Amino acid sequence: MLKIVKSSKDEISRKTGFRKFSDVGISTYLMLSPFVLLFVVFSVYPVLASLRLSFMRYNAICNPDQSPCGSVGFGNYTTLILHDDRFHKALSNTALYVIGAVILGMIASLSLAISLQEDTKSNRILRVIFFLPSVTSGIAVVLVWGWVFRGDGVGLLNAMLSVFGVNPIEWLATTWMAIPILIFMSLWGGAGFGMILFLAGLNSIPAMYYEAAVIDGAGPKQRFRYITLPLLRPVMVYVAITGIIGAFQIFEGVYLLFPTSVGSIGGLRDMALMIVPYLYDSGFNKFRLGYASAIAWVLFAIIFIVSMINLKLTRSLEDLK
Amino acid sequence: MKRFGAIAIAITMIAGVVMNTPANAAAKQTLTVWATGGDADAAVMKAAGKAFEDANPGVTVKVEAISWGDGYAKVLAAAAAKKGPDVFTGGLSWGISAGNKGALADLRALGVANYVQPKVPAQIYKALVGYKSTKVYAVPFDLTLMMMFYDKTTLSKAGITAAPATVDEFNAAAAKLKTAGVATPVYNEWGNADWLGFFSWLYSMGGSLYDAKCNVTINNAKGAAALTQYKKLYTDFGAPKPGVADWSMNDNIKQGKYGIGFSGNFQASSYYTYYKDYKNWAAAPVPAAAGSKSVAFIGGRGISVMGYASGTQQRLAAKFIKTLYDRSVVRQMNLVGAAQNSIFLSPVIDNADTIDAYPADVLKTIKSQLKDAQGPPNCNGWEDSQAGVTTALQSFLFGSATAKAALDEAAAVMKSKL
Repeated sequence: MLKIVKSSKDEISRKTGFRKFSDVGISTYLMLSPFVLLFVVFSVYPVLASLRLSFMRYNAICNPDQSPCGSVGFGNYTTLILHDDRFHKALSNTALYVIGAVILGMIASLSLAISLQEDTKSNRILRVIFFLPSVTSGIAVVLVWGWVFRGDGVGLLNAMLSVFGVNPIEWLATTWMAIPILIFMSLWGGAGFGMILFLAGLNSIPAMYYEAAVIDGAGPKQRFRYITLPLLRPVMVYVAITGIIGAFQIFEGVYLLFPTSVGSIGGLRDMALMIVPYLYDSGFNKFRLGYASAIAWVLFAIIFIVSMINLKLTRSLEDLK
Repeated sequence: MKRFGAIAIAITMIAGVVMNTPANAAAKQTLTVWATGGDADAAVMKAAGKAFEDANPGVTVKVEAISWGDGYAKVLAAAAAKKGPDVFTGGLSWGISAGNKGALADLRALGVANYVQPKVPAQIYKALVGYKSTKVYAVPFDLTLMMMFYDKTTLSKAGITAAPATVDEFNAAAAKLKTAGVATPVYNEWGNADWLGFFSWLYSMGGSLYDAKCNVTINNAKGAAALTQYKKLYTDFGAPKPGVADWSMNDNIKQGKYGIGFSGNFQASSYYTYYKDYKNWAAAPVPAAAGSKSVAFIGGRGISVMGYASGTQQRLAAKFIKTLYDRSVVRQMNLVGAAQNSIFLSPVIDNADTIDAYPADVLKTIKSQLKDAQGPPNCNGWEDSQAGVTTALQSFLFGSATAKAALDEAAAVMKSKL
């Protein structure tokens, strides 16, 4: 009887993921405590503190509960969402960038993975080459891109184009080019990482499915459409969600390539202003920490909703099958 | 017994240290100064610190350089942590902005404001004091003045005999430079395509950002005329947009690639350090509309005392700041500055005479331009309006908006922040 009760308890704890304190012993918790402590101090507390600050006018110097600081209720959120034109610009720029960077990034990553799937020496070398940008310092890469896109005759791209008689192009000072340039930089830097994930996914698809499809007369397009894509869906969801989160957080490229001369961020006519650089500008240039916290929470809400929609859509597609 | 002896010696030593501490502290004081800029700016400030140390035995002035880019954030971070400098120099608008946040000491209460006010031009002093504010958080430390730079030979080759003084003369000169094949007839270095670069044109063509009561005035007919003129620099005279320009304005002017460059007097410092043998450059006031004065934008640095500093430190800081307007101290700062590519321009106009590195005509230009220069507005919300105003101006400069629509948009931003 006792055995039956114990085994059903184990069953319950296996299902719920929780075990009684006495079951795991104090040593487990002691070993976990350094991480938990650091996690609470450096993650949980700042997140909760920023939520509180987002309802306040706060500049880090004044007493948070006294004038000129103090509670503003939903004031920061209403200003941000209803009245702040720069935030609206940052939001629309970021949306364009996320759509471009994530969709094109996935296409580029998957194309690379399929092209380099075969395990040959040359493919292994090419995989390393394509993966290298992912492990290179982001700041250094952006600075190099700055030289490539310099708008005068000294810029690498303009110097190359001048060989063909093309006049220098003002890459970083032409409004419509800003987001495509940032998307291109993200593809260059991130496609290799996505490629590795897709390669892992491709290699986990059993070869017998393809063999059976070939026997049934399926061509390469059909095999890709009916075998590769469906079985890669979990990897695609992962790449899409991490890509969306990463794209929403774009910062270095904007900060380094699109400054303005009066200490603001975003380039000519705010052509490259994105949410995180705007958050940084509000919080750490102007020290409007309450307002910056509100931006952070709005960004969190957007990423959360977009990720949920993505997951929901993927599950719905799964259900349709 | 041995243990008892050891304890007795330890107690005696601790008591000695404790009893001596107040006496030492009283005899020795350290004033920490953050100088915004580079190492050269810190060296100039050290010259003032040295003079102060000589006059005040027992005082040490410790100077540290902080960069322009994140200087303001560092000052606010120091204020938040209540740890950092006693005194700092920084942008003209930092004083109002950081002071209103509660970070700075009131210089009126410390006797600095009343001491400095009569010594410096009223419009420069005003730029550092908030509109209707009863407190003064910064006083002018040095000045940066918008000027027009050119190479005499480049202009004469294009058939221009004198520096253009009016807007019409400027347009004619720029057109001649273009016809003569100068690659970039006009170049904006300081405040390129933003409110700061537009400022001198606006004021020299009779316009303004706000009136004396801080009503927004940017969007009137004079403003529209000034913005239309400013656009000409890009559309008609080849001024490069931000992010496009070549490295050095001075180098390009020297080589005849740039015709007329607009920048601050810091470029004049550069001519006297990096281009010592180059005698053909010249500086002139910014052009003005017929019937208007040439009104250059004046920037530079203010100097402030941190609010968290103790009363003793604040009084010492106030004493130090007052010496920065002394002609002999300014002279020392300029000697160091001339050797460091950072010639110090005191807000006391007559102190400009202590800069013996500049030729007489350049010095004359600086002094005359200083008299009618204008600093950034001291109206509430200007600091927060700048980015929006610049974006609005650019919608006309590089977009499809009309000048009137762009200025109306800028005015709306300014009004919303008042």
